[in-house]
Amino acid sequence: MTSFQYFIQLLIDGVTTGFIYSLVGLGFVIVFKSTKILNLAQGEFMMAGAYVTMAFYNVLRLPFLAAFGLALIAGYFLGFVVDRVFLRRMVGAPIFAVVMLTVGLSVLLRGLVGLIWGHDERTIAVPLFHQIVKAAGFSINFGSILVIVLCLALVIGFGLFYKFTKTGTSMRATATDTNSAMVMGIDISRVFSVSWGLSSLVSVFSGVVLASITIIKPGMADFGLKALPAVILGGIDSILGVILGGIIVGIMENFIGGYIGGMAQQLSPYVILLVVLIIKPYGLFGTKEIERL
Amino acid sequence: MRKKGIYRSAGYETLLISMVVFTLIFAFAHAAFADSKRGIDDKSVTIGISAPLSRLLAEAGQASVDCYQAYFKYVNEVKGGVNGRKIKLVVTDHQYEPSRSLANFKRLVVRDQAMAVISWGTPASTILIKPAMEEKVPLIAMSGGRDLYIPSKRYVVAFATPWEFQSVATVTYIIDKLGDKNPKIGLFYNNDDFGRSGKAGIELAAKHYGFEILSEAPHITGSPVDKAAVTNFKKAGVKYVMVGAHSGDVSSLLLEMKSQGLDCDVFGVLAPSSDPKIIEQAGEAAKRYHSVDQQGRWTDTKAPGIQQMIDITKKYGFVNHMNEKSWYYTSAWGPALMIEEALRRAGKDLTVEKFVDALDTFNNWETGDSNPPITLNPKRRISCIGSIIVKADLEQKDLLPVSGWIMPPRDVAKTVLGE
Amino acid sequence: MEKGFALPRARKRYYSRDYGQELQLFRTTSQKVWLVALLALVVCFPLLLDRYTCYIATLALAAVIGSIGLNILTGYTGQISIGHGAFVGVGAYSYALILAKTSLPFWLAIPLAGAISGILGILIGVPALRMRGLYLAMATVAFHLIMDQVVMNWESLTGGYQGLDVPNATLAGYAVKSEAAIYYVTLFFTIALTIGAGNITTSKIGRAFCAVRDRDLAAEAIGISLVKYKILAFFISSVYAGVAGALMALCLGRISPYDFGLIVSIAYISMIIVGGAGSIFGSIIGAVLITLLPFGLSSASDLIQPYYPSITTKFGDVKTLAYGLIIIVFLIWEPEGLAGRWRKVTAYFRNWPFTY
Repeated sequence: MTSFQYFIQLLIDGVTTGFIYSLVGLGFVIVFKSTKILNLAQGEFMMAGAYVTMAFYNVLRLPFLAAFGLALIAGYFLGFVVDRVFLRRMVGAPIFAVVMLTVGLSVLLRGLVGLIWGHDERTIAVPLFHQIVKAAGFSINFGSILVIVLCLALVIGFGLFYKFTKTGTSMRATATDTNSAMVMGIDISRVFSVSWGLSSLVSVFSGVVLASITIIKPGMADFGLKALPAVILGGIDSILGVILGGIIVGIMENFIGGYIGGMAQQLSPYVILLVVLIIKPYGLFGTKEIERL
Repeated sequence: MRKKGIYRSAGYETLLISMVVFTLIFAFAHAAFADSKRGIDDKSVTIGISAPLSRLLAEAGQASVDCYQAYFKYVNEVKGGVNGRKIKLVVTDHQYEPSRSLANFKRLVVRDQAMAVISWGTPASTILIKPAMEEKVPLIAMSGGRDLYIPSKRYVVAFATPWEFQSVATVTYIIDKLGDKNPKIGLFYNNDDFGRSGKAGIELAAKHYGFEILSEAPHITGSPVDKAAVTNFKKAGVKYVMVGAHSGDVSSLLLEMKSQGLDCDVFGVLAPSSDPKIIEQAGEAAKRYHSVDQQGRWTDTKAPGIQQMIDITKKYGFVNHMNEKSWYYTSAWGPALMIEEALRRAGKDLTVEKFVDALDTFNNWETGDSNPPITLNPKRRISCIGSIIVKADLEQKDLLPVSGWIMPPRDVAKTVLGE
Repeated sequence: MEKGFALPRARKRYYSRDYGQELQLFRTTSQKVWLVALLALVVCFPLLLDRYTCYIATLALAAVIGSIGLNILTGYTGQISIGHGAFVGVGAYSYALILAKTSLPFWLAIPLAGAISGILGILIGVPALRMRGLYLAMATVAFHLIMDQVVMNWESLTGGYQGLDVPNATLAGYAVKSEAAIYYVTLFFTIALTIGAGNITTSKIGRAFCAVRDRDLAAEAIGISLVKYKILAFFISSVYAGVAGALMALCLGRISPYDFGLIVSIAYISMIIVGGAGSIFGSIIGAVLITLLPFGLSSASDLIQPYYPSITTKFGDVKTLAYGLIIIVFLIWEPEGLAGRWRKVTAYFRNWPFTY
């Protein structure tokens, strides 16, 4: 393999890894866009989504698409319920308290999943996922193509949703200024619940994708934190940003792994995160917050 | 710091002095808990277990504990106990946190009066070395951590085959059985206990057999496999991929290799990578997968020890582990047999010291092929040195033995064990 | 000022007539009486409890120190830090290495470990000046994860995953090994540092911290140097964390990275949530409760075990569940923590029957 081919292979791999980060990060962004809350339980939502899909698919033996569809509905429901039950009561609380609430939620979900399904590692075999497509000497996983397509579809879908539908516009309005939105007659509580539900829905997607790459076990929720660098780099409330952020982080991580290797690669996403936070905390496309007295 | 306020009102100096005095008093009052008949009475003997039952590696802890419970139930009910004493198990959870493990140990010894303690996991066991020696409590550690058996300590026994021997056994297999004198080897390892031991073993083998590791790839446990790792292997022209990782990461690697089109023999170099779940998860990609193991396989029903294990498991209802062909379950079988045998050898008037002495009398003790022969003596504190190579069989959905018990070469054994 | 006029007891607690009185930590006689009683009880613990409980009590005390440190940073100064566990770990490893590589006595090694951790805190504090709120929280998480990896990988220094043996502490030739001795050492440091924290928070520094928490831009506007006080807050909290880590190392005898993971940082934050942010009393209560919680739950499961034998293997998840539930419950219904609830209860009784 020539070094040019190596370079291109690393690039392709970086892009595919990056899209997985973006997919996971999309959940973070959707919640933050509407509610200004960083949901640190995103990884656990993802894990719950994967487990529920596995339960429907392996245990109830439903065909994959049906299991997946049901899991999506369940995911939406989960997000909705979380908002109604827990976050509703935290309106007006300082941001620290709300973020800690999500941390508490993540611990709760882990315990719950461990209790219901046990800690044994499970698998889920997503059809079509692992066939290889070879093109011009480079190989790429069909599954990776699926991830990229899915991610782009979701992004475009959400972009259109935010721009053109009534709910989407009201979500954007709420994000810009909650008080004015209330004055204009937008049902803020419904907007919050819907955005949590949507973010949880996206998490089910990413959970299933992740489950087909690695295995399903309660520890898979740690991947949620790994997507934070992508989210912050792109700007925590920008959907376009999370795509670009993901791709950049993925490519950089793969190149560091390919050319320097080892520990540097494992550390690189967090170092990127730190550097971004120090230099440009709002990321590439995030909205800058101006602190006023 | 302005101490004006409290300095005036409470006797700050008195507090200071009394603290120092108390510390000095109690520095001398070191009561060891060396009660020779702790946990032993005419009818029962108490054994404590500290294992990870939640969070990290909970599946391992749960399976091991279930195995002990099944076997000791069998001993109690069918054999009437050992020398008339029933074995009482007290189970605690350390959640893979060493501080919790130490707390469990103290609790088991002080409160539950456990005669001996079984502990699962390397960091959880290494933290118990000092207390076990000081309190004279026999510690049976299910872990291959080096500090447990080097230098040898009277009260600490490690039940495992040293990781290095397992990795070396894979290379021995490649060189002797497959006949490849200069193998092109790539190494993929998890950046934790397991993985690094595997790496150390392969490096030992490289030194002994005189070849070089062409490409190395560390990996964070549980995260998706870095594609660069496989690409590097392809670039280096690797013919044998050695993997030091848990089952989940192994299957990810196999799938990644398949998707990148790297088709060669893969060897898991540590016993946990012989988990049959790998075949379930990786499917076709596991076609050329081998692994090393330090114990027998569930499907090896010709071995009497395995058959007995299957029967007892079925009898006491822990069939979920049997159906999963849990590796961790089997790993607790050997120590359970060993403990029962040691209790028996210690005789009717059992004391803690006699139990430890009995543990020292094992010399190539056979376990019905469920485990390699056990040898323990005052110099050798790790129970086994044999390993077995297993190969994936896609129809049986398991890995089946393709070799006997492979012992490490003399000089490698010397380097590791120092004997 | 008239010397003849004595303030009534309740007034003495909340109103001061001069600055000296303001700085007093324990003002009323009943407060002092309770203090002495508490100290007497705590000092006698090793005589009353068995060795296992003594060990747990030592862990709780070390956690108290760490939790006070975090409270100074997060509760008083408002800098959210989810990386506290990393500083604790640095303290622990520094202590072990100081004892192993130099011949300093252990009672010097403990503050030194704290100082090393403090220096790291300053290094973190400098970039942290630019960040606030959520972003600071994320940066501290990233920092913690990086430190985790560094400790795991720098094997020549830290022994990697196998851990590091902590040499025995010796006092005048005798080993400080027994649970009781370690307990007293920890108790000594806990009391000293708690009093220190109390003094810090009631002094000018403490007031500056509170100003930074409430409105940092306004604080800067009135002349409180954000740079100085934010870095000072990081320094103090890391020193406390370092000492807590060193005491843990003393207590455990052998340390490994598994003792200082993200779980530990989350545990410290929950100590503050449960106990009450911005209150030293709160951090003490929170630390004791959160440390004792898993052991308490284990005892509860032991009670149930004879009736439901397989519960032990499942109970770990119940513990995790309970832990998360407690954090959530406290955040929703008791955001000021137990100290806040205590404040409200005493205020009720103090003002009874005039509840408003």
